[in-house]
Amino acid sequence: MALKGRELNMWMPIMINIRNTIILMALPSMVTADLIPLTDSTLKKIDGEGIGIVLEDFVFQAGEQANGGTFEISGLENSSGAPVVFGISQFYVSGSNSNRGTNVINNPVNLGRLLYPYNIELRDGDDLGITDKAVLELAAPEKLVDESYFQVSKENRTERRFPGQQVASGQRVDSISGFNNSIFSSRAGEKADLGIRFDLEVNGSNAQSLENHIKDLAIDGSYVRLWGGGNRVEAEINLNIYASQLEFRACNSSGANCGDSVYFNDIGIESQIGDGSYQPVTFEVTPDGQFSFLVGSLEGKCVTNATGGCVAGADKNRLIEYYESGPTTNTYIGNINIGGAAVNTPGNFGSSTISNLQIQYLEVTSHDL
Amino acid sequence: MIKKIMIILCFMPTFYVFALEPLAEDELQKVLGQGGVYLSGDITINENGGPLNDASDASTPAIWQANCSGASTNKRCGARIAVNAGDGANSGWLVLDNIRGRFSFEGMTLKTRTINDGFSGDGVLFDNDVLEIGLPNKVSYGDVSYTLANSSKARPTDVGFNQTDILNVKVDGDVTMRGNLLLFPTGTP
Repeated sequence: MALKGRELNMWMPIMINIRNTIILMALPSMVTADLIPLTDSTLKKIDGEGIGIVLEDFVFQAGEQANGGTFEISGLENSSGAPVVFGISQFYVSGSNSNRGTNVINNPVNLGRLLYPYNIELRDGDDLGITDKAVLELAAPEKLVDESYFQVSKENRTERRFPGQQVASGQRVDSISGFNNSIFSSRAGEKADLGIRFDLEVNGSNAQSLENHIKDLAIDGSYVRLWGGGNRVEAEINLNIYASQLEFRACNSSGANCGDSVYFNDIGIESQIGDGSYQPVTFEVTPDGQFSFLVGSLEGKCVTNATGGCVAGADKNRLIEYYESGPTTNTYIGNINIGGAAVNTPGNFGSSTISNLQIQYLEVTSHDL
Repeated sequence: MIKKIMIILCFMPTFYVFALEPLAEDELQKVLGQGGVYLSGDITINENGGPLNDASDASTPAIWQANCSGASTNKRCGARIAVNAGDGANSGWLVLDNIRGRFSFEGMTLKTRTINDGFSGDGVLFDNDVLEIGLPNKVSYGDVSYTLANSSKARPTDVGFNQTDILNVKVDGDVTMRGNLLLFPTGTP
């Protein structure tokens, strides 16, 4: 059957389209590009400095009461030599409003943010005041701004810092005047509730049940830095703890008839321990099998003159820097009360503040009894 | 010929009347992502004693024996991890001792995931791939125990061995662990 003029005109576009379609269908097979290996120069630009860790929709729960079974910590004795066993009834990590661990399983929490994750990183010690060392840093989410949570009011003082020593002038913290809530990278849904309930078993029978609960915990800005310094592991620790409430209470052996809770409300702890390799923190076990926790001494950091002061020079300047801007510990508890007692009633201990505590030497060693 | 083509063309559109439709949430949940791995595990450590134990060898100190049966009063029969955080010769060892028991889990998943939304606005800014480890809902512990201790020597068979046990932990039961562990490189690319 031959096509006549008009029919041919009508079918031409369709035939052309079919041809184009076939050509188009054939096109992908003409693409010769393939996966190619990345060159070294490209790879070098990918600077994965560390490993970010985020726990998404996280819930953790363990314990004898929560999941059945046995969960015990033993090895302790009371004063009369009877073995004391901690039976963990419940240990949980969940989102806020856990209601003392009753709302855990369906109350997940995100720990860390994609933009502010927990981070494990090898860092150059030269940037951190730890000269010529590679430093392993384990860090909690960064603060949004690198500032203290505490806003303080200061006063000028001229006094003897120590009886018999010379008079010195300077500023001293008078009180905590406010809080800087803009430092937190953890948002409301990213603060965890965690707690532990345990039974004290003395001589195999339950004696008492104790509970600790922490609400809305954030540890933004905390880190541990570890490096090898002269045949041992040295560390610098920055521990920031913020929580809306810490609660302790004791109940009877079956976990009922609980007494009044002791509440620590609005807690802020910012503790810096150690100052790079200048004042390292070490954790060791002594040759006779006891542990020893040491925050390095400042003794001998400068050459002293006849009156016991530092001889002027770089060593002295470094010490001045240490005292002025070195590691400090600041702690604030908004309110301590028993059983929710209101302010200005018995059972309410008001607020407490520790500011500018500087650990200049610390040695803790265990001993056998 | 033309009629045939026409007939074929007439019916062609009917093959395409089904447009793309959004999948319902429950349908999507049935779709398994490729490249993921589903893991189950069961590990038993030192249930019947430690590798260094040999009671028949007279030269082995009695402190390091093989009998881990329930009736045995000898508790020192698990694996041992000793860490020296100081100068090896002049300092002691932090020890995780008598590690034994069974750990098992089912339903741990391993896959990569592109995150470009969600996370209260962080996802859009993040817009990257992560390694997602889906935690098993439940990890079962079967008679898992260990001891935290300080020791003067790395091994109980060493001369001058002296150890202070700090605490013993025993777990027999389930631990609930839900959620996803996301891992990704950080820093400035």
